[in-house]
Amino acid sequence: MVFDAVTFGLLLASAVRLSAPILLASLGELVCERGGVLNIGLEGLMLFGAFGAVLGLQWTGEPVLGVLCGVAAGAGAAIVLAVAVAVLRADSVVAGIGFNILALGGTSLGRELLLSPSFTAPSLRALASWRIPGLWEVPVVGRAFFGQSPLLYGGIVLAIVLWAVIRHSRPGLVLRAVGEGASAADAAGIPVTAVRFAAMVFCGLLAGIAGAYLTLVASGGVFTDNVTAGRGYLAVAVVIFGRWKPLWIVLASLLFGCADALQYQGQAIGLALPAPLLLMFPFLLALLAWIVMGRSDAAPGDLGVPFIRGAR
Amino acid sequence: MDPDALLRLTGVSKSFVPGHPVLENVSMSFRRGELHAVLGENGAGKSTMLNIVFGLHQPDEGGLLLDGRQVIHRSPSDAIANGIGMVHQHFKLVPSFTAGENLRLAATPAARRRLSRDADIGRLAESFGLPIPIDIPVAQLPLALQQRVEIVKALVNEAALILFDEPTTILGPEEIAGFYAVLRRLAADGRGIVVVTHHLAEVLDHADRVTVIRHGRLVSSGPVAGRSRADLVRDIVGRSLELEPLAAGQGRADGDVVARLEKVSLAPRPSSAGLRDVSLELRRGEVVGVAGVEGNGQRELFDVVAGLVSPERGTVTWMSGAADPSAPERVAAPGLVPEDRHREGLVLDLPVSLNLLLDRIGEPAFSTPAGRLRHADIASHARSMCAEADVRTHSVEQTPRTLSGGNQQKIVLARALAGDSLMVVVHQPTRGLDFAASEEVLRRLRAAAGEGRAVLVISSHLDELLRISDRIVVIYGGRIVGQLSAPVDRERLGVLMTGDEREAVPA
Repeated sequence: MVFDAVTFGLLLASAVRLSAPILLASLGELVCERGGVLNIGLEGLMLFGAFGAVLGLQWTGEPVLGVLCGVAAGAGAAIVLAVAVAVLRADSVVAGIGFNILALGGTSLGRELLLSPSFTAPSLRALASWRIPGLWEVPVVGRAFFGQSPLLYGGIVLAIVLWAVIRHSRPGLVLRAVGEGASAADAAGIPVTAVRFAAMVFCGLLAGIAGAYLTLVASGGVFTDNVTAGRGYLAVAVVIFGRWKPLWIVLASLLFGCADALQYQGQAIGLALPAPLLLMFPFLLALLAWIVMGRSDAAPGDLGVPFIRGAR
Repeated sequence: MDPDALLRLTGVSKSFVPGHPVLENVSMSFRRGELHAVLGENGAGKSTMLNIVFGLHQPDEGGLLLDGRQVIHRSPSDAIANGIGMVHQHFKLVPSFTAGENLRLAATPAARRRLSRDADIGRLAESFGLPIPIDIPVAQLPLALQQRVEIVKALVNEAALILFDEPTTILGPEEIAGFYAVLRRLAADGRGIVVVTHHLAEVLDHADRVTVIRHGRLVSSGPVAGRSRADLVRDIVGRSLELEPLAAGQGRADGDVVARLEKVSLAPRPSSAGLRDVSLELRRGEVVGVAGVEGNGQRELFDVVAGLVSPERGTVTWMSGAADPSAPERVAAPGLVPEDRHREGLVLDLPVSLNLLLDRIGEPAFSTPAGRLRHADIASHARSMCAEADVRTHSVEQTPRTLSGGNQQKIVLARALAGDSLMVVVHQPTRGLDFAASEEVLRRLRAAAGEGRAVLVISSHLDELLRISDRIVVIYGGRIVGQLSAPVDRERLGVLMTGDEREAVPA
């Protein structure tokens, strides 16, 4: 096993890079779940975002416009899902799984019909890494923490903002009320359906960014079928692991990023484990999250319960 | 026309199922400064009327006039904006939020400015004479304090009319007078107060006006002065219904002992006093009442007598046929009516037929040796049980969730009394039931004793206990502090219930 400062630095940089899409998606999921919606459709929303971003890139040739197209695709798809779950009160797990299957088929079809396989992506360097002068050259940790995508930095800033908003502002209070006691919120005059709808669309926006990150930052502007490969589900587990708290979610994302990075870097550092086991690693971690934390008191009281006025 | 009206309902009709109106052409008014009671049987439409005023339901016909001006309440926020507050039977508080957060959530934008800090909220609540702990989750507060948070919520939004849906159900007998004193003070400040209740005594003692609704129609509405208990009952049920003497004290105190508790103890828990050295005998043919303020060990007593929980110290013995302590798993005794009929008494989404026979479904009469259910036999047996117990359903395939509380309780009671169990143990058997349904439950319990069963009634409803029991034991702090034989002196009972052990008689 080769393990020196250089390989450790590479592993760490890879872990942080791979934690970004999980962080972005799980912050969206966090907002959903604090509002009482268990959004299993996160995986599908990310796929739509990933596809939309590449489509936008191919149309415009502009990486930033590509990201915006990914955001639009994620939000647009979220509106469809939100109509089913928040407005029509479909069971969010059933609707979400169906939605994910639809997204997998839909984006694969879209790739055949709309994407050019021979497209040469422009330089995505500006999107992929911002090198913070001076700091990024620090040995070992420099590249990992100071040479990352602006989208990741945005995600961390967002986590702090969400912490403040959820805990200390009126919109945060309203969101929590809808998630903890929907009928109480309704009696207090809060439009429960509208709040949940908005939370799901917000989640779609972030899932869109997460998807765009996967294609534009992590795979050089190429969309491959099922590019998310279960990361949406991992993000749902991260919310549980992070006990529904934004700052813990940052740490939990990093942990899952490490697990993800081991698949790619495991062999590089000479980890003598079979590759399929390394592939399983993030999912074992997710399973652990469900088992240990799934029934936590920290979970919103009305999580996954459709709101029907007057229901007992 | 009522010129003093704060809020008027004009010809309000509502049906949830076409052809089955819940309210029909109801016109009435609520005035400022008055305590207005609304009476009616379960399902008469009282709660629906409140819900319409509060914007939770929309009337099919008719409308609301607020100070003579037509208003439409599409949602609770419209009602709140128009100065209407409501304290629901099942509180509308976010359980994990503190009182402060709940109040801030519900406050209108105008009221919010005064509530930015917890200290402001505390001071405001105290200024209404309703101090509340503001910084712990409301789920951890006793129900009476949660109710107070709900009242403060309405006051913070400057409600001119406050609606209460069965507010005294959750209060102990000793808390009720204090509760009405609060309502009286709120009314004296010029607010209109509306209280839906089943308890006639409360109405006669405390209300200014009373309205009776029967089958969705207005029967009477006017001042309480001059009304008697008997004529209110006539309005409610549509016929004279005398309080039937239930022959308290007629039971035999010399029957065989069916269950015997000897120095039984259970450790206290945060919400309850546990049990301490409780000794009690239940005999055939006798109704024993258990009186006490809730949370003094009633729940544990039920569990121990029923065989659901083994005592930590002391022994429980049952006559064979009452419970089977030798069963490998502890099996609950037959003949039980638990406190919470929704969670412990019924499987709300299984048909009435299966609920009625839930404890007997494995018997050869109802399933084949291979385990296949004999549906036809189950249904026909269930139908005869329904007829006997007067359970009103379209069919035994209906689920209890769709039935009124009174009908649900009849199912639980019918199941408890169906077997040949020698022991019947009931906890809060009439909670939330209307007058006629309560009487029916009490009559059937008394009849069970007449058939030679031992009946234990745990209730916080003193009037019922006094009427039905041959013997009343008083529980306080997990201890039996007194035992009184019929006829029981009410005053003495009250003293014992508040834990004044000087009065205690060794049990």
